[in-house]
Amino acid sequence: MSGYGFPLQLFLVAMLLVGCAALLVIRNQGESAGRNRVGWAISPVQQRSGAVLAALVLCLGGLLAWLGWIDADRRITSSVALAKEIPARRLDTPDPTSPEYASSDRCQACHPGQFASWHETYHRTMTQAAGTDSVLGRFEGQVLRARGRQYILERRGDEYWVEMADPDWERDLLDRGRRPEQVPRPPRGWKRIVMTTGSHHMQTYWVASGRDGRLFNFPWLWLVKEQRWIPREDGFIRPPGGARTFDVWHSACIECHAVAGEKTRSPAGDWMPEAAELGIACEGCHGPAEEHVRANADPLRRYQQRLSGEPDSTIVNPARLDAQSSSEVCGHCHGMNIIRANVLAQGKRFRPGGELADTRIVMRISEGARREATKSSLGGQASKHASDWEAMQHFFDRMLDQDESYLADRFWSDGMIRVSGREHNGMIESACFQGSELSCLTCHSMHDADPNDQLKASSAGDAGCLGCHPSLADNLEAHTHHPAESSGSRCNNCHMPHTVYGLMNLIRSHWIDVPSVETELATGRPNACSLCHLDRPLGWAADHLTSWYGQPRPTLSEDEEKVANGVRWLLIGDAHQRALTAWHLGWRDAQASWRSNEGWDRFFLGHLLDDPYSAVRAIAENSLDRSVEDSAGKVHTAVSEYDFLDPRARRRSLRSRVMEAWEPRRQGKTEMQAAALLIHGDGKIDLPAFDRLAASRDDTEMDLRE
Amino acid sequence: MTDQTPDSDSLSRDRSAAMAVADAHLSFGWWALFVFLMLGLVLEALHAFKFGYYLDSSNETRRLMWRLAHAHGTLIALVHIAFALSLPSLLQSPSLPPSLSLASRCLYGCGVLLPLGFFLGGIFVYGGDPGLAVLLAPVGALLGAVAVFLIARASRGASS
Repeated sequence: MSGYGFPLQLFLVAMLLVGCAALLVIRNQGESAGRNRVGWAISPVQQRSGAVLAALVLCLGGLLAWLGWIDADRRITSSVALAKEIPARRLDTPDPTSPEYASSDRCQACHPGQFASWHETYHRTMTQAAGTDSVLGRFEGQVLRARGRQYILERRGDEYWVEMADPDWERDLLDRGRRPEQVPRPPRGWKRIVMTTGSHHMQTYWVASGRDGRLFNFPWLWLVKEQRWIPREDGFIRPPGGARTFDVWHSACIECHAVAGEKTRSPAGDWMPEAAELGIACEGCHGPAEEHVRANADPLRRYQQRLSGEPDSTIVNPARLDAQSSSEVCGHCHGMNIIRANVLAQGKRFRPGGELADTRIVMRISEGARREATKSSLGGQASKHASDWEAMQHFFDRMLDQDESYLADRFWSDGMIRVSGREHNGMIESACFQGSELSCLTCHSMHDADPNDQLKASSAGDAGCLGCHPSLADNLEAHTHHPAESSGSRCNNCHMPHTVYGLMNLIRSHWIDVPSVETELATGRPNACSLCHLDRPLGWAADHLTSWYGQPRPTLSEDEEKVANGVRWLLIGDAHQRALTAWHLGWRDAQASWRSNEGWDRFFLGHLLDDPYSAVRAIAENSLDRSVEDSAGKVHTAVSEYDFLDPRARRRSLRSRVMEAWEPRRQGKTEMQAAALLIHGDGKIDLPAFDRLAASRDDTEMDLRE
Repeated sequence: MTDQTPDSDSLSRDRSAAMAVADAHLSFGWWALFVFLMLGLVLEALHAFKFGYYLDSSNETRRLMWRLAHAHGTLIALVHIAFALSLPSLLQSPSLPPSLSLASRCLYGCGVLLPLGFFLGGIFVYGGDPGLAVLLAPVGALLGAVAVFLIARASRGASS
């Protein structure tokens, strides 16, 4: 119990006592048979009133005490309290040499509104001790099988258990260079689920090592919306048939999924993950708060501080930092950074309000970053930019020696981010950030936002952009060439399209740029126009960008001129391009642009139901679900029977049923529009063209590292 | 008509003065009870119509202060009534002793300052801290404590 529950209950107890006292007084009066010591007459009415009053007080006191008790039971339980339930963990013991952390519990008393709004976020529940409040997955009577392993799930009261191959044994095999799932009959045992990660779209779980403080991933994901388990590997764009993943919490997750998470070794050499608090709590963004809490225990200081309106020097408020510093508070986790070699030795960590460059080099591979670095070195100064650039190139060389797709699995070739969780790397490439005051907090907030994307209510729609570009607001249609209220006039849809893959979904690029066919040709990243107008060829987009915005028209191939861009990427693209095209085919904003051509998308999405990548199949299935949700018929039936994890033969059969059941609708389409969708004059699909394009699918192995 | 001696006149005057104090507390108590039960109704209405100014999580301090104003106001109204009803038992002589006279004044002070401090303190809040008007509340609480102490002491004298 914390906060105000305790004094309130004391007060209620006091009310009960007063009630008792009143009863005693009335009893005394009753005993004097209607007359007291000084001879005043006590009427029977007064006696009855007193008795009723006393009874009323007692009942009221009892009722309020009961309500108070219920209220106390419902109070928020902090993750710190939950952390104590993790056996053999030392998660609540920060390094004594590091700044002191107070925990979010102690913020609530002075900042109830901020505490409550943070409490609603998925940041808070990013990491939780496993318990009935945190575990979302179904454990009762579940047996899961994948990649040669079986997992038996069980719930025992408030605890969650899994019978599985011994993770310590599997890890040992992995360390010796063997693939554990290929070794039959492993030693098995029951492991208790001790911790959870995620709560928004999916949740995964952790079991403890039997030897040291390591936490091993239970390799399944619970999909929250779908209410089902899937093997962890199938939730990511990874090479089909690839090895099982063996994540250890302290190897990477601890850095950002907990406050001040650190991987340390005990004197005996055992791994001991430590953190000030599980999840992304108050001090994750505001820095260590013990001094702040101590200083503000003094009410005089507190009121002085409140009334002065000046920032409190004992705590960091990202909203008061400049754009770069406040963005780095988010970016130290929502970004890809190289930790400086000397940081680990010196034990120096990034703290909110500090400079990220002191401890990390933010990864940048864009042309702009290269120019910046070159300019610095040409100026004859051993600038930080130039030396960081050099250090980063060495790092990339080293990584590329080990994995030649290291950069391609993380960035598009022009340096734009490709996977979620790297939003800072995207935003800092934007001209709006480099030349203006744009920061993460321009659009996002932890305290004044929908927890879904943490988008600020005050920046909803175009408000975030029009704040700096007010002239466009006066005549939006002249700039967008789309009706002002349409999705084609939303700033984000053109300047920050969904080109980043993450968690079986697509998110916005966070690099504010302009739609460009030239960039698409250079990088393979579909341009924003074509991500809505999926039924139009790239040449059509090029024509419009040329006539509306004066962009030079590049030379295009015949397919690029004639075949709808959505169809082309869906058939010839790599796994990421197919995933993002499939996602956009289910995107309501995009669907609005091909109303007259409805139905064609089902045929092509049907084709992806047998894609080699499970994540691509899952996205295609979702888009098909959305496409057929309001209709009945054969396609609807086939889609409802489909599961992206079905065996190949069943997938192929259902794919055929969906594609065969598609009924072409040519009404309202010109011949050229129909041809772009590979539809013949007779309304049938141009199968030779379809097969030709499908045969040229880019099967480069993709392993997008989220 | 009955003849009265000067002593009995004086006794009657003292008794009337004490009765007047009791009546005043009784009246104050019931009216205060009415006011704070009304405040309770208002708070319930704020719940019923989901007023953000009262219910939003950022206004938790205001909600707490007003609940405290309602609860303390109601409680102290009941204490006034209890004092009025028990005053006859507390008197060892027909006249009101100075200590109970002081207790009476303190009780009025408490009955006004304590709920008012909480109520006004809830109008302007600074995050988890109430407005400065809340300083009235501890003054009221102190007066209440003095009053209850004096009454308790008088009740011991009365019982002996």
